[in-house]
Amino acid sequence: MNLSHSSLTDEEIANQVKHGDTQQFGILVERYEAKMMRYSKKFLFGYHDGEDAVQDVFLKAYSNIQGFDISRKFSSWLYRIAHNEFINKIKKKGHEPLTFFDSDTLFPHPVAKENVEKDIDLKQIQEILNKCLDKLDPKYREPLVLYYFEDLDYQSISEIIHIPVSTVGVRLTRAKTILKKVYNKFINYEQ
Amino acid sequence: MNNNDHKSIKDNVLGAIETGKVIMRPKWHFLLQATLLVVGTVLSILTGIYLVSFIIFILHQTGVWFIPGFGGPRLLFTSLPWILVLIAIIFIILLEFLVKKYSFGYRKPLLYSTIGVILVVLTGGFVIAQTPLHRGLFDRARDHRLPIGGGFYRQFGMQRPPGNVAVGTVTEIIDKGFKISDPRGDIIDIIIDDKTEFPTGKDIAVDNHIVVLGQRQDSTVTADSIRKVEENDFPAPPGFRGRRPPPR
Repeated sequence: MNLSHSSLTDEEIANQVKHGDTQQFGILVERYEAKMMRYSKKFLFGYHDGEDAVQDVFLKAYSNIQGFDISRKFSSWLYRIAHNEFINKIKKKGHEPLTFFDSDTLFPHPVAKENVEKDIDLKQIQEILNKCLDKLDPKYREPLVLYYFEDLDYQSISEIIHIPVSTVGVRLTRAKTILKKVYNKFINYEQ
Repeated sequence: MNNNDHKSIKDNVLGAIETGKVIMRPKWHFLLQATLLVVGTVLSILTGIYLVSFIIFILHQTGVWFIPGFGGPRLLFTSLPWILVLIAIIFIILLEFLVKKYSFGYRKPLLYSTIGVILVVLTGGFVIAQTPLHRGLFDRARDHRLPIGGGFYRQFGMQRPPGNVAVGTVTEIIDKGFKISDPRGDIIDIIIDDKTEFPTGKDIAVDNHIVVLGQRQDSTVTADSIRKVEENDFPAPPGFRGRRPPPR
């Protein structure tokens, strides 16, 4: 039986797992494995234990599934677990700066438009990201990955990282500015 | 990534579940967690409100509250109960930390949620300060009838006002001025001279609650300025409980 062909929604499957049908958890793993691997590879750039991290994400998700509210989106809940897990990995390695206090979240910012710019920039940004991702701080790298590779909107990213929606826009704008500078340096160096 | 990798993660996860390496936390664990968060938040709010209202009570008790009326912001600043203020700030920070755990907290910029938390605590503190809660507790503490927190109320509530401030209730009019009984029960002579100012009027009578700014020597204060304050603004000294006129 190919479990991933199940017509049930993620939330319905999660509900079955909560009620004891633990084998159904395999369907959720199948549905999100590729996404989680991509998220881990892009966000944990340069870390060699991305697969272990993803495995830990699913184990944590299973362990905490009774705390999942089925009226909410399973994907956001899973991404939130992944975010916490990956941040912990970065902290443990201690290679990259992770500030306790972030001034971006202090003041209100106008919410930037998202979709139009995204369509225009998508391919170019993805290409630049692939080359220069490791040059960005995690706090700028993560929203870029979630927005340009995971195709999540500002609201979902806000729920995953636990920052205001307007701050998501600010970080993306700043991240792109940094990225362009880094990319130009990279191109000059290549030439 | 190849298909084997895909299977590997799924198989490992399901294997860990089957062998019991990873167990599903029971529902009550999350209910308890959520309940503790709510209880912690409510307790932090109540503690913050209590501390702010207690600070206001202490400021009234020691006369510091009325110092701005004498035009002395520096004296006010140096006379604040800074330990209590610091503890209140710590609770406000703790509360902000807890509020950020809720979606309505992290969705808003830190500035907004912090202003919200401070407003709730300050407003609640001012409202509670208008009630007779602290006055009643202080009276019981002074008579050693408050088993829990009595020492706390005595320590802060019975401390002397800052050096050149005296607070109390007028007990007797004398030739050179009048006598007052302060919240500790001490009798202080207030001496009036030509330079004494009366921002709230000169008609001082027995039972009036007053705050005096002046030069103190032992139990005598030569008044620079005398202000009458409302009864509700001021706690009664020990001998005056029950002698207050009914509220107007």
